[in-house]
Amino acid sequence: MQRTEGSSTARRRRWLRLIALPVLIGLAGYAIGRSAREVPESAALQWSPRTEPAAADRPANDESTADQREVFVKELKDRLQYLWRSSPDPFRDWEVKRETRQLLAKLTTAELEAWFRSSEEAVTSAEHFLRSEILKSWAQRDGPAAVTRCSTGKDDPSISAFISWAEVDREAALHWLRDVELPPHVGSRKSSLRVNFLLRLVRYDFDRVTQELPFMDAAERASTLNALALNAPDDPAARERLRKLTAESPDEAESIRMESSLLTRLAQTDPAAARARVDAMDLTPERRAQLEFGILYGAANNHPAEAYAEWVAHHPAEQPLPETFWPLLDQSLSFRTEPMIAWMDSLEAGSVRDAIYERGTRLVAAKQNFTKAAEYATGIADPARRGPALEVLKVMWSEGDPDGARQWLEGLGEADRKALAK
Amino acid sequence: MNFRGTAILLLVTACTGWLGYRAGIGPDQAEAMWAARDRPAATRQGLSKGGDRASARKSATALLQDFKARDPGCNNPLVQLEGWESVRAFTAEQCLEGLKVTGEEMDPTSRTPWAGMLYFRWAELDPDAAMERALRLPEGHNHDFAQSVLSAWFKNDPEAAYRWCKSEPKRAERLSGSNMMGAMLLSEPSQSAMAKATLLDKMTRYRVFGDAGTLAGRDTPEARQAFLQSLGKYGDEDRQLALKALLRSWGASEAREVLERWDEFGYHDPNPSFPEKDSILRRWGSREPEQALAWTEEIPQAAGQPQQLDIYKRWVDSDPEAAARWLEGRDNAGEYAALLVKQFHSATLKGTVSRSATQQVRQSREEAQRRHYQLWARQQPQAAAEWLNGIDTASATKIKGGEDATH
Repeated sequence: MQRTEGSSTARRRRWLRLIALPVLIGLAGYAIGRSAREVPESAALQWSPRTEPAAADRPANDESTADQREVFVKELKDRLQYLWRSSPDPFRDWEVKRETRQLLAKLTTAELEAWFRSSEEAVTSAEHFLRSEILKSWAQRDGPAAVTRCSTGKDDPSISAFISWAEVDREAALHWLRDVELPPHVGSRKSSLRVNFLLRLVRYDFDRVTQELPFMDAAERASTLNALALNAPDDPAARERLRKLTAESPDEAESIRMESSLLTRLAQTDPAAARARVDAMDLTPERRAQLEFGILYGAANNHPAEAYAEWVAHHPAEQPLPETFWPLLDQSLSFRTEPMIAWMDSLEAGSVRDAIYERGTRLVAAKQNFTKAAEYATGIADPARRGPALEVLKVMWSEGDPDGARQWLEGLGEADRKALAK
Repeated sequence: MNFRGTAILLLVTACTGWLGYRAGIGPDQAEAMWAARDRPAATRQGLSKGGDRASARKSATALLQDFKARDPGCNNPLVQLEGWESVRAFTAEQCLEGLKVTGEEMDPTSRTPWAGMLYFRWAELDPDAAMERALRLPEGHNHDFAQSVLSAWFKNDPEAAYRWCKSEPKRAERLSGSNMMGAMLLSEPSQSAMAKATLLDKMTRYRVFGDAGTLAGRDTPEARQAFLQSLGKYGDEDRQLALKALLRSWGASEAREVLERWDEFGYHDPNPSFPEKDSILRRWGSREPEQALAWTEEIPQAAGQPQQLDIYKRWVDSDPEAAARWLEGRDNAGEYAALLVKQFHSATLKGTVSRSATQQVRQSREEAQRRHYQLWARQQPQAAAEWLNGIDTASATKIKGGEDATH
């Protein structure tokens, strides 16, 4: 009997010991959690009563005094700023778009203009978005005024203004542009205004785009057709129409330029198809070179190493590299540095490589890769190119890393050092 | 104790430890925060059920076909807003019907505001279903619509939207969920918004503290001072965010005061290579170059030569004649000219001018460089000649060109 009692006490003790561990750990966990518990400020759990500001419902009263009007405009602006700041996504929030339109309609065009001008110091993203909405509204109400007066010196959003106007009243906007005399600061942008809208229009109304062509001078017509070729819907019928329209020009060079632009567009997605098309053409060497460049221009961004390698393979060694090649090389080296360096390293010696290395020296040094740049400069055989490349590198390297430059200069061969010391 | 017993004991212990910890840490305060907010008094849900509106009688298909015909480029905001007047009274069934017309699975590069609008309306009525369908679309097509859904969801029921974000953190991040939460909080006065934001993630706090600071920077001096004092109760990161935004927006109207009082604000740049103080001075310099430059000379310890030169260089770009008038007759005109010539030259070599600038800007830069070289050569002929001798021949010829022409 005693033994049974004793063993049951022992069992109880054992159980207690077993339970004690999880209980203690549980308590410890609670203590740790409790100490880490965030105690929010009371303000965090209280929301202000939501009241709708008055401006939204009040009609703009023409007879109100200047002071009343000022108060009204201020309330309206505050409301709009509040709406755009507090909408989870004002571009997708149709209720905010709706109220924005209703409120902006209550402002005069002069008030819209004044607000647009004074909002130049927009800081937050919501402020920037609202600012562009004010411009849109102004442009829709008075297109000519918005287009010619929206430039603030700091930025020139006249293209956005024109597009906003043309989106809601295409005919008025396009007709206005045909023979308007623009003020000097926008004058140079006339063709930009037009082409930027036409590039949108061409996606759904090719015919309407062509109706504007007779109102352009030869240069604008040609550049517009080329811009269309680079951006128009990617379908054979559109390409054929662009070719025909270009062929109307007395300048034959335009047709080859158009073909080149169409190839650029094609090579962006299908370089092989572009290549097949050029291979099947019967062309003078000069024109072939122009089309080859069109392919390179299209393919350079997506497949830089392959595109450049193929281009060089098709480029006759005796022909100088075209002027248009250099800006493209700048761009590729800036944005696709690694594959471009690999391609440049693989070039075979010769006049083409010398020319590319001369330019490459400067571009690679601009990326602070002076050792690589030095490799290119000293890899040039033609002294007429080697000298200038070394000179440029010396200046850039000395500026970016004087000690490194000194060491490099000391290690240069006799002839190079003499050339630099001239 | 046998192995099995030990394993069970350890498992039970781990469970109680975790449960204890959860109990200790308490409920998710952010959820409680959203829950404390009133739901919108009335949604427009009732409108469509009444069935007394034309849009409720006309089929969604016919309505949308009609609007789409009037907006073939999907770019006329007026037609779209007119469409919204109908769509905002749609039922969930009408939204689904409408989505058949708008081609939500079109090429993702062509934006379809009509489908986005239907998703927004649907999410006002049944966000779970709308989100599920948007996310069933292939990647790349679904993002725009899922964002429409989430924004309507946050607007109408932030508590539920927050819970969804918590259960789908990766998707919520891609859909800018934090930015949406931040915007919702910004419907509150700044102090309330900031207190709430401390319960949420870093991105939300970034939005809220940044916007609150910007607003305070434009406020009255008293309100601004009160705001600055209130920042003391927040963590360093949040405080610095608000402070940076405040100094920036205040500096846009009163740069001088901000710069002169700089040290009393206790601001630290998160990235020392881009000091905020320099940006404020630079922006002042773009607005009022003469005043900003005068100030840098009045208080020499406040800004160094690089900052002065930066203001001057921008001035040369924006208004070369006014800049030239200012420089003329100054004692250190030669020094300025030398620095400018060298900086333009370095930018030309690095290609930073040619890539970003238009032909017109390039030409006026070259012209400015020539003019400044002439000025330098007049004041410090030997130093100028030596420098010109040390640079590459092509650039030297270009810079000298103007000089030869004038002599």
